Amino acid sequence: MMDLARLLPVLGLFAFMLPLLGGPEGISRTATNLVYFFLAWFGLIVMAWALARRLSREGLDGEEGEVREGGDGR
Amino acid sequence: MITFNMLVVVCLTYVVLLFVVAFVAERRAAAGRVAWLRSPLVYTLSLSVYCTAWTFYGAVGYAARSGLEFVTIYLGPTLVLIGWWVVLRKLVRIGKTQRITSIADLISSRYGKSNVLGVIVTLMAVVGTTPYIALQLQSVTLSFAVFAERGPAQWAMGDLNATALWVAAGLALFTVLFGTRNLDANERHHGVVTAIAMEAVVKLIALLAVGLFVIWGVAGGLGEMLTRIEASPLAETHFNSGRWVGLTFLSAAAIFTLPRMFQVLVVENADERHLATASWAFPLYLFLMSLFVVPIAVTGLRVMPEGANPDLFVLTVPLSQGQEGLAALAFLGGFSSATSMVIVAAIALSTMVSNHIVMPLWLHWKEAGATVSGDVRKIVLRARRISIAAILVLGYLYYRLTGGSEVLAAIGLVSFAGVAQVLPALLGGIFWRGATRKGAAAGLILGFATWAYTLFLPSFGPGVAMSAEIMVNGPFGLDWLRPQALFGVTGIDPVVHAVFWSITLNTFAFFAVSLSGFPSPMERLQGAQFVNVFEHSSGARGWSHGAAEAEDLLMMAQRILGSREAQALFQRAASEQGKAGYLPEPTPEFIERLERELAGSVGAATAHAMVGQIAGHSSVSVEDLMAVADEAAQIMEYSSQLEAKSEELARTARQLREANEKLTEISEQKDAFLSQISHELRTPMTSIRAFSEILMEGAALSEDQLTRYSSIIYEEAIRLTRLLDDLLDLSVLERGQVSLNRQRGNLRELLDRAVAATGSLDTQARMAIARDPASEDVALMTDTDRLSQVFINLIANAHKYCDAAAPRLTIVVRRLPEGTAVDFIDNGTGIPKKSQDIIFEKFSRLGDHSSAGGAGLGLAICREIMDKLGGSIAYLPGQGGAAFRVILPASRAEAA
Amino acid sequence: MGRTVLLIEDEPNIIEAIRFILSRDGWVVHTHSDGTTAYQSVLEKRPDVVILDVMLPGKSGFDILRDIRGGSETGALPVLMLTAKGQAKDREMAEQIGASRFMAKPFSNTDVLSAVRELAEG
Repeated sequence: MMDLARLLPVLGLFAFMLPLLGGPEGISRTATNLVYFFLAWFGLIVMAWALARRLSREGLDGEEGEVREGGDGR
Repeated sequence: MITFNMLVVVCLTYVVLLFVVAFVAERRAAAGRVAWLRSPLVYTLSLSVYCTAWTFYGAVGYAARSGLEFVTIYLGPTLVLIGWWVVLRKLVRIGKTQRITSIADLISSRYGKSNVLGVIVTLMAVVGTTPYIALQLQSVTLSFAVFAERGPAQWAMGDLNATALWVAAGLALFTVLFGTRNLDANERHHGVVTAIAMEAVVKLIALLAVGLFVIWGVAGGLGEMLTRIEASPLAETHFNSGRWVGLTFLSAAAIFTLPRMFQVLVVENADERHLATASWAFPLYLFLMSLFVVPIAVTGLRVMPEGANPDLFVLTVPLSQGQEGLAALAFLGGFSSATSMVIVAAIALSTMVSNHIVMPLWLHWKEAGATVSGDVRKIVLRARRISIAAILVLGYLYYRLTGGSEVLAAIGLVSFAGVAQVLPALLGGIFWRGATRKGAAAGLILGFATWAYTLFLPSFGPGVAMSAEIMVNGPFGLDWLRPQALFGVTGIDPVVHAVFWSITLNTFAFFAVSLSGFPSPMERLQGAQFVNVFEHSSGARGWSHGAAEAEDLLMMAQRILGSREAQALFQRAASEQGKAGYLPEPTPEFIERLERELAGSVGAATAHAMVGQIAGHSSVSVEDLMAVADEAAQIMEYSSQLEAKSEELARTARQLREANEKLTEISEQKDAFLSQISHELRTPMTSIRAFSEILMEGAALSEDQLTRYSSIIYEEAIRLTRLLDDLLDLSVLERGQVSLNRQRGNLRELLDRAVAATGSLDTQARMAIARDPASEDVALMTDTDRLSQVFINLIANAHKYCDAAAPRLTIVVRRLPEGTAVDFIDNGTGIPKKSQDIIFEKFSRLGDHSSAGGAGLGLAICREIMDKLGGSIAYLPGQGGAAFRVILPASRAEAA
Repeated sequence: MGRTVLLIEDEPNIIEAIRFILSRDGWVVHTHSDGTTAYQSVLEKRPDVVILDVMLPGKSGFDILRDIRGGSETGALPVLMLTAKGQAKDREMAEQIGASRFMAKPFSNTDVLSAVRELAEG
């Protein structure tokens, strides 16, 4: 669940950057893109909604300990 | 036909409504009815200050010029919000535990409560935000102008300026009224937040209404709308990858680095759980805000005359279609977007300015310290009010200076890029303990300078803030320093260029300087608290004991928190310490707590400085540092210590229980011994007495009888003597008074002798004794008599106690690392587990029968002997019968 | 017709001493050394008096006494108990179970003889 919470923005980034790859010489139909973006966007919102519900039910303070980064305190 | 005057009335009515809403919210909050004021919905709506007039009007203009690209401004925040678990949650938690008042306070507090950093971030925020405020003022005046142009009386530019001034003044009034009611960051601005939530609803409804109108009212349906898009100049999307990625990154950074966003997202957050709701609800809000942007732009391009300002399509399209009411609604939406941004930005900036610039200066001037008379609270509030006014004046002046130019329209992204410079220090601060104050300062300054040089100053246009000469050829003719082509990198969009270089240099400087130095003790303490905010919420102790007088602290606290709050705080702390009255012991813990309370009002750096004036210099002990340095290790060590302790306790308890059982059993054995010894003594004496009497009577006895009876008396006397000898033997052995008579010997000979000596016992059942003579050929240097005594005892025991039908004793000799082992294993039932522990105790003959000849001293004697010989004897469980192992020490065994 | 005594005792020397003393007085002395089969022996020998040691291999004298008192034919049989432990609690125990007489080792020959006589007559 926690991993999913971390994964979701990555998924979103992928979805939002995907059209940059497509189309001949970076040109594509605006109407198509428009529909694509809003569908992807809405899908992400729905996933975030489901995730937030799950996380809230499990308790925000989640037992997971935050991963320690660079704990050597250099 | 809506008149300009009507619009003014509508606008004023709306403003009055805002004041009323804010006022009611404050009243409700004061009455303690904050339930819906603190709902996740209000929190989510308050986040909509992200959508300013720049996005309300500007997005359509942006779309009309560049197509889909406008959407990146919303995609960034969406990504951050749906990834709330990673960054936002941590920020909010830190904001709560450290009582953070602003983004400048966060940076300052993280890097050792450094006010220098606070000042840097504050200045950056003011520089980055003032043009943005000017942009809002401009959008309001422009939207007024749209209506004014249509009115009978033509408005002059001067009138527009007057409008801007009025708007600025009104906003200042509102902000001062509802934004500076209290000092404490944790007491939220309910009036402001509620009013902003209402404005969020207004602007959303306005934009949706215009969108629905252009689709169904103008185009005549969704399908037709798509067809019109296909037919419009925007039909093809030219993705500029650099801009696309760059703008998404910028807007993602802006969502928590913009001072106003930090204010609503972190400082005004009432409950961490609201983030969970906002994580999907705010992206949904942005989704709806941008849903109809392209249709409106396409319609505007289609229906409006050539050269019309696309930034005002939201207003002008409905007007051109005769939808006066819709236009008025759109106007209110734009007005809401502008005002809510200005209000929150002013509050956030004024907090920074008062906490990081005014208060430190005031403290500096009043060197005598915070103990002198004067209400700090009033000073802080006054500082904030003045700051608010000053910021709005700045915004207004900026508008007057640059108003109407193209410059202002671009300022949105410029501003984003400016505040994004905080990003490395912010993220580094909450995820990396090695980040230092110097690193943060270096990164901030370098990034900010790069931003100013490559984006901010050139944004005014050639020849305004920066000469055209420099723009084209670089300063002093240094080509590689051209502001929009640093290091000769050309052909990139200016914004992307600026963002790339400023953030790169910023990050590089931040890491390089952080790594090249060591964080100070205070930075380490704060760094650990920020980075590990989820592991421990207890405050680090930065204060030594006893330097401060509680009374001085109370006096100071009263002047910042107000006397009632301060006294309540002190009284609570005192009673927690078990003291009556208002003055708690000024323990480091209490001072730390007080400092955090004060930080909620005046910021961490100022609070630290004020407490420092009373409590003396903060001291960070070596122990504190050690604790921070490897807290993880310590926590783990502590828990393993605990574990070890509880294990030790359990072990001790087990040992005690065992000892107790043993004692109880020994005590029982002692009782049993008394009757045992009595029995052992009385039995031979019975025979002796009986036959003596018979002999004494002088009865006629045959010669045989005479001999026999006297020999019985003799034997029993011997038996008695032997018993007494055993007792003496044991007591001598025990007291260590025995002298050993070491001599050469051979294990096989000793065993032979022992088996022979016990042969006489073998009366009832013939016991088979299995041996392996070859393995028994071990030379010994020991007290052979004593050793054979042990062997005899063991073999005799087997004779006495082995209860098998065909008794059999196996004697096995083994070489072990610790010496030579001689095992005596019989095939009887063996000794029960519970008795194995006590058989070597004195008088511990098992069972209650007399078939055994001894008094239960044999094994006890054996043990004493083996001790003296440097070896050991033990019961060997699990051999299918009674089994004893005698170990002869290796050195002795091989000494032969 | 001589009266019979059953001596239940495991020490061979003591058996010999008591046998001598009682035989001389005209008693027929049967002996038994194993605790587990002692009661069986009582039933078989049908003695007039039983002399019973407390510490016996296999079964305690007290348990044998209980069997004797519990049996319908042997319930009233006179039993002289001997013990080498000589502790008060052994005497109490013996009386409680129903020993006719109790005697601690070492005993005087005449005491044993007179006790057996009394028990046989009583």
